[in-house]
Amino acid sequence: MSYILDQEQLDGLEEALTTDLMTLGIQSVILIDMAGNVIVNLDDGKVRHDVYSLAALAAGNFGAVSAMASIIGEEEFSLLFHKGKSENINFTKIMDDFLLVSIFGNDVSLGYLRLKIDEVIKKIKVLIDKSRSS
Amino acid sequence: MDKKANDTFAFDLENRLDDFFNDALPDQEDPDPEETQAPNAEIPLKDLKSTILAIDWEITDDALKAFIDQVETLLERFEDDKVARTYLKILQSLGKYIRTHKSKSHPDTIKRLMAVYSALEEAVASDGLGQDKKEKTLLAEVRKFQQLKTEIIDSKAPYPAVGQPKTVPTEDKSGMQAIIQSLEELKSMMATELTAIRESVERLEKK
Amino acid sequence: MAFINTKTKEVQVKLVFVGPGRGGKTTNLEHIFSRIRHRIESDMVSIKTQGDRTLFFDFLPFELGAIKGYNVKTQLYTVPGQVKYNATRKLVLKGVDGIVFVADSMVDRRENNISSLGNLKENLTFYDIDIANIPLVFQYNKRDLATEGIPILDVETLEEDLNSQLKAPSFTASALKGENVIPTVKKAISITIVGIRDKLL
Repeated sequence: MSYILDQEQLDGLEEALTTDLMTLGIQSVILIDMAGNVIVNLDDGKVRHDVYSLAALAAGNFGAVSAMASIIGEEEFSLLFHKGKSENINFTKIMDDFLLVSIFGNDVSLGYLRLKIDEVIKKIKVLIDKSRSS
Repeated sequence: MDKKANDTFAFDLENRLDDFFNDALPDQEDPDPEETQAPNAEIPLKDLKSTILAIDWEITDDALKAFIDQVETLLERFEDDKVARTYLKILQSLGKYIRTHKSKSHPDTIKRLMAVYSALEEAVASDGLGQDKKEKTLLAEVRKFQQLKTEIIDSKAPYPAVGQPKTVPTEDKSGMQAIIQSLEELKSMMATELTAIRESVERLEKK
Repeated sequence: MAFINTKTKEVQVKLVFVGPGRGGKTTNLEHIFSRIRHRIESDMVSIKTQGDRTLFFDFLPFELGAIKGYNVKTQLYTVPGQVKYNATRKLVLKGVDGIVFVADSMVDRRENNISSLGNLKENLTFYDIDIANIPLVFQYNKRDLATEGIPILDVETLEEDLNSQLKAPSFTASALKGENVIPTVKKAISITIVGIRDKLL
């Protein structure tokens, strides 16, 4: 399954993620595909992670967790979240091919972040579907 | 002995590897999966606590409904506890606000919810905690709640409080009215509670 | 790192198949699995992309049973071969006891074989392992392509490029056709376990 995103779509994705998520004061948001390729990478300018390794590991991690879900008879898990001392990381699947990785501190509630993520996913789906219909 | 033992071990290993990759054995059947049940906790504040913890992780209609229902039940239970009742009233307002506005809620609302719940838990749990300290904490929480309320009103400034603009789609209209209504509710509730608190503080100071 | 319980006499080893992307690591494991699945409990686990590229690892555990009082358990892993998955590859290599290096015999993959071996050396160094000291077997895979008229490197070249100093056991193979896959893994398991037992005694 291949996809092509043009500049307009990428700009749109960046804008949606900035407006809906980055404004909450979270550290970073990375939109990746399930093979670990980085599509959009946004951060608060304060930290410099090795985003490419993070993306590859995130995709691998998500794949491993999905395999675990199958083993225990679940189709998938609705929440994949890791809690750190000061930073936390949340993974949300978007359609079957993408993963939204959010890194945020303890001042943002996970429940609220997930509400905002649900909202932004609707916009992302519309933007990505454009390339599929063409 | 060691070398010899090692040699025979290696020999046996080779044989085992040969056997393993060549022989056929009958299949094993999988054991049936077992079912387990988790015990339930029935103490009143613990129900609210588990709902709050659930909301911290995921905000759903069901969780918010359960939250509001549990708060209302607790309001009756803590009829005589002014401090607990105030906290519960704040939780009630916050809960209703979040339920109405979901992802459009002010980002600090959930934070307030968690903080107020913690304060409630502390006030209810520690009988040793002096009434003084309890009311001091309560006033601080009330102030923060008022601040939040002000921020919400201020951020709605572009929207007129009374008298709608000419062309407004139906959904927006009812959304604005809902916001206005909940803010009015908050205002009157706060006024009543603050008066009650001031009175009890004055009574304490007279002692 | 081998799990050894001297009390219960249990030995568990981790073998990892490494090599350039699309070289045949997963195919090796799939073939092994097909040969032994009727006698093992677990399924093979594969975490891969939709394009069938290994994303995290393939995993195949099995018990060989008791040998001279030692209960021997083996875990086979593959790593993703693509360059961009180095962080993941490093993770899977943690605790490795023995290695099968699956080289791609295709002529135009010559450089990839060499850089993949270099990458393996680096990753092992990260875990304070010297490649010369770890049980290692080379497999020169895709020999069957010669019959299809696709140019492949001769064994001497592959040996020269990859094995001139290490002098590890090596096998020519066709994982797709199942040729020499089992002998490769048997040798790898054998030298790994015997090597560990040497340390025990």
